[in-house]
Amino acid sequence: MSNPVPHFEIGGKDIDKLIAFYRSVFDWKITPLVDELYIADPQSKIGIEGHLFEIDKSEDFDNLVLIYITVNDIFDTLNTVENLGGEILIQPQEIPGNASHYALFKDLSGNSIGLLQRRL
Amino acid sequence: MENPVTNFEIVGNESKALRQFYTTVFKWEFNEYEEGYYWFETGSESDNGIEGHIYPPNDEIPLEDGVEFANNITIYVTVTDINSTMKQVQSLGGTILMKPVVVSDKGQQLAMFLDPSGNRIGLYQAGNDN
Repeated sequence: MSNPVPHFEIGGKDIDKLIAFYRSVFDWKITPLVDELYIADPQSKIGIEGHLFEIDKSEDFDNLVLIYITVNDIFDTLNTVENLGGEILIQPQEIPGNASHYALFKDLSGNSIGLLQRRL
Repeated sequence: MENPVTNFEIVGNESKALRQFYTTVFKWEFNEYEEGYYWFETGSESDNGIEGHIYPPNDEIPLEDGVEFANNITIYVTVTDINSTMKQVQSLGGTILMKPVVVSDKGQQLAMFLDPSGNRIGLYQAGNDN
């Protein structure tokens, strides 16, 4: 069983500026998904695709890069994370699409990492 | 021209403990290529995982004067002309963190910048044999 990294997210408060920047610099195809969330597709056979997202103005952080790891059982993985001293930031939330749930945790060095659960 | 995201890095002071953490939680197989520096693949071609590195912060990263890492996760975008991409980054309001550096005798190059929101992004240009 492998737990690959198939997804990234890049966030900012000025989402229009962020979209224009990544379109111009990398020629990525960027399309709206839902409110405040955009698909960033590099349109390449290699590599992964991601999202650009808008950070709410009220948040006390201005930017965030996340990588997501796909796992078979997100609850089981979060148990292991906690046992090893990691911290849960967001409990598993249901989402539409290829993955059924996502969650966020903090590793031992304080890095925020995303989890995706495979849809069975 | 395609510019895919092909790599990520996680930086932490206790890189050995971090390596242990990720090995235990995700069963990733690691290669230690220098003490405290780890390289790993996260998936096969069929499940589309990218490769990553874990390493400690160090003084050898040639960051521009007066800039610091904003957080500890970096994703890398593969580009065909790293100098031209960096010029474009600057003209669009990005900040250069690290100018292109040659990292192998095959001519592979790395660079880093901050996007207009302050996200740190890495650039990779393949070497002669790719």
